[in-house]
Amino acid sequence: MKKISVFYLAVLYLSLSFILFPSVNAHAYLDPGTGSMILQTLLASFMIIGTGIGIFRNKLKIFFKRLFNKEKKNNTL
Amino acid sequence: MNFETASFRDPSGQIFLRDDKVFRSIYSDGVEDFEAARQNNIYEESIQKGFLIEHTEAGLASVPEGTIYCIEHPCIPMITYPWEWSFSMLKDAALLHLDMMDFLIPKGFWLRDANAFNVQYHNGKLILIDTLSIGRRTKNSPWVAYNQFCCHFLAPLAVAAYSDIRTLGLWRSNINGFPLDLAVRLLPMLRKYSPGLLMHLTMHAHFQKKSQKKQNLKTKKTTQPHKFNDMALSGLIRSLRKTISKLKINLKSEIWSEYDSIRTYKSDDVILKTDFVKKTISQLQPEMVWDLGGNTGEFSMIAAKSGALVVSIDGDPACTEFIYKKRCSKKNEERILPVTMDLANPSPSLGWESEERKSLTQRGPADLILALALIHHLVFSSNVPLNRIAKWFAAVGKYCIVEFMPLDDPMVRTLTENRTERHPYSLEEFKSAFGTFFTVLESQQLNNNRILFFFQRKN
Repeated sequence: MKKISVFYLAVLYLSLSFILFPSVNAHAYLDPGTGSMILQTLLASFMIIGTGIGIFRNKLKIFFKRLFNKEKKNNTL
Repeated sequence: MNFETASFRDPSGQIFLRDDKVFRSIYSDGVEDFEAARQNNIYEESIQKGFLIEHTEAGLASVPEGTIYCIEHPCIPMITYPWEWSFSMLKDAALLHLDMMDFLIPKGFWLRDANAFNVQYHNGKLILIDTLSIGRRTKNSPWVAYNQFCCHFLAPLAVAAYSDIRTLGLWRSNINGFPLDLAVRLLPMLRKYSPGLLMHLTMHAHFQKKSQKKQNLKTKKTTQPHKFNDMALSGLIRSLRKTISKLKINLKSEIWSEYDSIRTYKSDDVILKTDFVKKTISQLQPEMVWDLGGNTGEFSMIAAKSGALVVSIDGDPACTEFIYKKRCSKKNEERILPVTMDLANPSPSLGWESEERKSLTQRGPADLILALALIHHLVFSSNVPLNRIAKWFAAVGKYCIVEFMPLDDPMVRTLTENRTERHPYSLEEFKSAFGTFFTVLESQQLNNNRILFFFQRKN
């Protein structure tokens, strides 16, 4: 559920970003497509945010695991 | 010296053929990328990892004008196109591109294009055949081939997985890849909004449409390019990989369920037939065999065991998927290339000047054609007369093994039921039609009155 809500927030962010940053330069024999280039830059921001959230969530998990383990150890002693 | 008709879009190089060998000219546009990749051992490592086709540097005698470097590639005996591939083969071609990107990004390189036609089946595995696809990465730029990757791989795979496998045939009319808006229209409503497909297809199509409108109205503003670092690019590739890995297909074929019953009640005949095919192949030692109507590839395997490259052609995508997954996933000692194609409507020549992509007939002739339990399908289901079948076989094969099934055969009776009008079909007419183009070298009568013929094409 958390994942989904983060995802849709990111989509909202992307949509806003599209209005704010309209173009990108690129040079290639292949037409990269302006829309495709814009989308990628916006997805990149989203992925960095996603990765950041992931790291933070993992840290929280580790923190709580340690906390509960400590409590368990104290109880057993 | 002949230029390869499909090699003209990229100005950095071109493929040409000389003395039955395959060469690639590298022009001034491609020199810097080529030299950089060579200096950084990119080619060497890519070849070692099995991503890229081998090459050796060749001399500059008898090369096209403007050639700065010339390299020689091994010849690929059978080129196939995405509309002929099974679902898993297209998926593996997509993953090959992503593997290649994962390898190249940390080294400061990337793929300049993501063209499905650049992947071919070679020595038992899929391989990238365009050496010049590797280029130095443009700093802070998004992936230039992202759009092409989505059109060539993600869109057709997603539509085939969630809508209908037969949509892979749409490739034939869209040789530059599936238009993203079309792919989105073909997807079921809920799939359009699944995270990966929402990002890379639905929103992608929307952004393309919006940017097109902006360009048309000349309202485009110039801004500074956005930063798109290695981490972002790797993230994009990871996301594409995750989306593509989730796409799966579960095909069931009626042919498979029938196949066992056919084999059970005619097991003696199956042994006779197998022995005849084995014996003929061991005598002939063909290098290239086309198994027309290859079904689950049983006879393709026999031919492949003799060392031949076998192209197993069947109209049922479930059969080609089965062969690709089961036969090709083995250690590839036997080389079988499954191809999905309706033989009554084989691949035509397509693209620029109708020469860019070759028809099936142009890619022949094979040394040996296997047409086992096929003729009656072409005559009764597709209404192709026997003489036209013989004529086409002579165009695509030097030798062929053809199985004739009489009118009272249960399988033939099934097809002729409820047919009031049909083309002439008897052993005499079969012999007469094939006799025009072929000489009979050997024949074998089976207990069920079917007859196997081994033909040689008349010169």
